[in-house]
Amino acid sequence: MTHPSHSARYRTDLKQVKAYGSAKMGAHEWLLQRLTALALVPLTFWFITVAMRLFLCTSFPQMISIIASPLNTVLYIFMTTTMLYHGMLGMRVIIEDYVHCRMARAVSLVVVYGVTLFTIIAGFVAIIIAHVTLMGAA
Amino acid sequence: MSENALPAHPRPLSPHLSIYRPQISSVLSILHRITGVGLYVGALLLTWWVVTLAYSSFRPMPAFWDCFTGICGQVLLIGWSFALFYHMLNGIRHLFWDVGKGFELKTMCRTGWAVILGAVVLTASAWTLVWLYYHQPDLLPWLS
Repeated sequence: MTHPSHSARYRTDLKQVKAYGSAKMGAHEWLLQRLTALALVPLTFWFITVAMRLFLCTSFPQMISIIASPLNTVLYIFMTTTMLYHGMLGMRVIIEDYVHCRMARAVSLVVVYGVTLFTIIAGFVAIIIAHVTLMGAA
Repeated sequence: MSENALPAHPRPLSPHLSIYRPQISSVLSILHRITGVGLYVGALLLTWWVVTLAYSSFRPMPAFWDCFTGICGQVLLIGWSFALFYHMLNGIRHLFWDVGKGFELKTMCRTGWAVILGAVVLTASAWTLVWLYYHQPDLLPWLS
């Protein structure tokens, strides 16, 4: 093996050997992106139906009966989590594609993951608070 | 790929946007990405809107409510719903590609146009239903 001047020889033999092979990660994200996408197809149709009904509510009891239904509650939590997680995975791909500086990429990924998780939890809290309010009003 | 420093001798890249005419494949692909980002931002905003609604005991602050039901909010909502339908239909097209079906050129073009048409039709019908019900509630009793 040729040995260039010492200052240029950063790729030591050990480093080269350690970097061999695949990244050994990423298959999980790829699969989850497809699985969440598949789950989101029926969930989106449900979401649109309920959103339209809520949008067109003319009275408060109407709104309550839509929100208080246990199926709607569970599906709301399921939908929020799945949609935001799918979006998080997608944003990860976009950031990895377009942000080239290593530090900026790491920071952007952490920010996106953090904001998404925060919003998912906020969505949970919102539906719980909604139920507490409804039970108080009933 | 993860270089922080600028390369000492920047190498020339082959041209891309300057030589290719926009085609159904490329336009739909980048639109899928753009709608994805728009949907993500909109989903965050919508979730936060629901949070504020829950905390104000479903009696929303007038300024905030007007923001969402005013003309600006309506336009954004229609745009978000178009992005939703488009991204979903193109996503289904992507899922078919993932199992290996639909790569033939003719199929790709046809399904591409079908996705655009489907997204426009679904958005138009959803908002027409909303508009119809808003003005004539008795027309669609199953919606209430």
